[in-house]
Amino acid sequence: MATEPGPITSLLQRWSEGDGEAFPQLVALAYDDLRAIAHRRLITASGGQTLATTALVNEAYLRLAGREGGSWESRAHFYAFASRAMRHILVDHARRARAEKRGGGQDALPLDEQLAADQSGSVDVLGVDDAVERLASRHPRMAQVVELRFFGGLTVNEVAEVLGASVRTVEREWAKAKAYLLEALGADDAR
Amino acid sequence: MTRADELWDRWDEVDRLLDEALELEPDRRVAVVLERTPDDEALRALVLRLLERMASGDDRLSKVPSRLVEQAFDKGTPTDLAAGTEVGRWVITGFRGRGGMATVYEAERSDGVYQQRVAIKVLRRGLDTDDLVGRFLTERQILSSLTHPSIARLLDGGSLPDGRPYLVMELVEGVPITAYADERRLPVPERLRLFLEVADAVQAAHRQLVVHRDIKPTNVLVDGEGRAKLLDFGIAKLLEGDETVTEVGDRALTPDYASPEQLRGDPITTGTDVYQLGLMLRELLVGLPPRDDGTERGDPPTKPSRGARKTMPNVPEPAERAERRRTTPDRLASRLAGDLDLIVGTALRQAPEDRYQSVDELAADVRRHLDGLPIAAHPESFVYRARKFAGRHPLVIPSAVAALVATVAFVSVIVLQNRRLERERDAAARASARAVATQSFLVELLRSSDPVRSGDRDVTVVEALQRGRERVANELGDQPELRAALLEAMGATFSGLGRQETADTLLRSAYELARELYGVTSDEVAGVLVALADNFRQQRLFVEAAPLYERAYEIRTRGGTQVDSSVATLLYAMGTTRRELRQPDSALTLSSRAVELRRQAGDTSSRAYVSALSALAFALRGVQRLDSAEAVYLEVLRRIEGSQQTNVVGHALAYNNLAFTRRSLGNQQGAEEAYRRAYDLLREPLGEGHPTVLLISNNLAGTLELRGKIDEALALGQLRIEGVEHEWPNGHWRVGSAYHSIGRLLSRHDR
Repeated sequence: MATEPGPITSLLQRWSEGDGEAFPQLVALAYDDLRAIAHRRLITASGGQTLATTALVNEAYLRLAGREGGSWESRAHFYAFASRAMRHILVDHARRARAEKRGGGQDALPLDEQLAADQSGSVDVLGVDDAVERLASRHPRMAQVVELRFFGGLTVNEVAEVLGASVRTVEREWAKAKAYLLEALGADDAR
Repeated sequence: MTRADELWDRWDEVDRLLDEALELEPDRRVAVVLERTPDDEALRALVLRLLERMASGDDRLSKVPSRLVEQAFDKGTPTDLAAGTEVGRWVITGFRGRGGMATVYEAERSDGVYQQRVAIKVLRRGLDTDDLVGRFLTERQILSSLTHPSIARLLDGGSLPDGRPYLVMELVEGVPITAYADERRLPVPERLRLFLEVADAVQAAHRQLVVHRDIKPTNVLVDGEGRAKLLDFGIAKLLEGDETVTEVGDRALTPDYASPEQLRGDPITTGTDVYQLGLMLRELLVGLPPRDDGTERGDPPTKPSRGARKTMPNVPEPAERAERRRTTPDRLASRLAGDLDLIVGTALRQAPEDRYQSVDELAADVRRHLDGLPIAAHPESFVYRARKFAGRHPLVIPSAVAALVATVAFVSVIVLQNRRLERERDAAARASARAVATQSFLVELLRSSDPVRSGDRDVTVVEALQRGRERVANELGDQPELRAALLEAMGATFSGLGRQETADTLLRSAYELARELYGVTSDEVAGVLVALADNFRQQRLFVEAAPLYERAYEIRTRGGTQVDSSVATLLYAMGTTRRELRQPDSALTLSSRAVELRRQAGDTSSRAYVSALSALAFALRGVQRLDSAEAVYLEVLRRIEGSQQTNVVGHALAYNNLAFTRRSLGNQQGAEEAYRRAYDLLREPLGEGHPTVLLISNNLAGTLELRGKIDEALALGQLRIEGVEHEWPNGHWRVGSAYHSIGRLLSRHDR
């Protein structure tokens, strides 16, 4: 359908061209979709069914495409955006959860308590976020691979498509990035 | 330097060498790393470790654990309207529950015209699609057509600023009908009378052409006065008119209580409600859950008389179920055999046309049974009717009961009038009497177990308070004012002891009571709001705390800007909250005003002044005026050390905060000294496992590590582990945290 692009499509365009103000607007527009999908999946989830970011992001894209029509270009932009949005949502939640855990502080206590976040079967989302930020200042694309692969749940092939890079490059950078992140998180030594 | 710092500082070198190694066959990679790093042990170790990590197949980072995703979208955001939010003429006071499509809050009138507590049902965010909004509006339309004492009333409605519709309903304080009947051990006739109230409500809805379709015990609540209320017309259906209101995919029925026609997807009639009432009646009579009785779909339903003796997994034993009806299984079975088997059986027939043709017919049979009359569902026979008539008794008791009720009502009116007069006349005197009574009660409770003075651990204080809590619950039913004051004081004390959940429970009760006794805008309510907010602040839930403080501030400053120490205290708390919410500028403004107010009042020697100064220092730190912050902290310490009062915790915290400021200024030696003072002050009176001591100990260990005093940092870590294991249950996050921090310390220094 050759019609006017919908609001999300044009915001995605602006965001991909470096317009930083588009991001919060996009989150506001897409957040409800992500939440609605998550909630429905949680309500209808039975037994071992679990909620993966992959499913959320894909379904959110299908909704968008159904509503606004979509070219591959906006699909790539959407995946990039949705992965960033998932990262924000997870990090916000982790911050809040951490704040709740710090019971018992009194008055004007500073926030310099070392906090253990690593539990079995869990990931220190805040630690990953911090490490990805540092990685981004040294190798932006490698950080983007992490964002798409880890936070967005995209496959290596999809990441390659979104970034316009070869699958081999993405595989290599993802493997290295994981090692860097584990090192930065001080994960138990592999030796 | 930690390993992570090393990685980021030398990232370019590391990445180059890693790439070079990865270009080679796996068995030649180590050799090239060794070759390139002849004199650089750190780089060598780092790159080798990265190669090992890549080879190890550690898949922790392959995807976000779904548990985290679930929490982020579910538990992380249980409510989207915080307490204090205004919704039309109402203000949210609490969270009540969440269903598939709506969240229910408690609220009260915000304009104070009169006091009324209500339930507000709001469509959940993200579910406000056109079809669900439409369904929600249908519920509103249905409810507005229903007025019946046993149906929760619709009071108001509207839309939130974001467009989501909401309904304001009568707030029903009650428990599900089956739980109510079991708790009160109601015998069969009383259960039947309760059932009749529900049946009347359903019949009233049918008269308005509304079918409920979701009748089940959790949708029928009974309040403290024994009145049943039918709730949740969320999936109700209008029998004629808007036919677009049909099933919505995954939420249109409750499978266990669904009628055969609902399961088949056949048309819905009033017979659906007859069926669901039949299921509920059987559950009331014998305690059998609707469908877990082992019968296959299509089998005739279990008769109540047989169910009375039936044993089933996850259901109490027949003897216990009979006990809850003040009878035995055998007697219950024979009580149910006959009429009640027939009534339930008729309601539960597979085909709607074979059931009672209306709820009225069902109710009429239950009434006949209660009155000892023959029921309509029974095939008439001479013997049957004769037995019924012979069993009837003349009723003489009701008139006596009525007289008694009238007497009680008269006495109550007099008492209430006297209370009101007394309240108006002696409000001030009573407030101070209350304070004295509260104080002496608490003093009596705590005298023997002050942790700081007597050296006892705070566990004993908690025990004493638990006893006090029971006494408040058991002994003060007739003194609500004292009860409210004690709940507040005990809540604040629990809060100070780090028992935030208990504190929250007590303070919420205090809030309810204060609101009932004194009104929403009373000083008493403001006081409890502050205590609740303080408790949130202790849990670092600043977003929750802020609106409560602001509401309290509004109440306190209603009559103009009086210089009052409670206002200064509030400003102080609001300032620290803003500071934690990363709003350093308004934090500085509020904190400065708090200090100023105290100075104007000549109140510079009190502990409150010291607290205000501390908050000011904290705010100064927020705007990076670290030198000023340090100076104010030193002033705080001078005042603490120059006064007669001993507040060990405040004293230690001031040192802790001074230390932190010095750490930011790069003065590690000064930081260590101050942390040490803080730690030494608190470890004895509070114990190593106390949250504040843990925090300070951890801070001190961090500074010791920075200064290369690793052994001492490790020794502190060991003490923390002993402390938490003593103080917190196995598996508590603090225990894991203590182990984790010492583990990280060990690994950072290759021990």
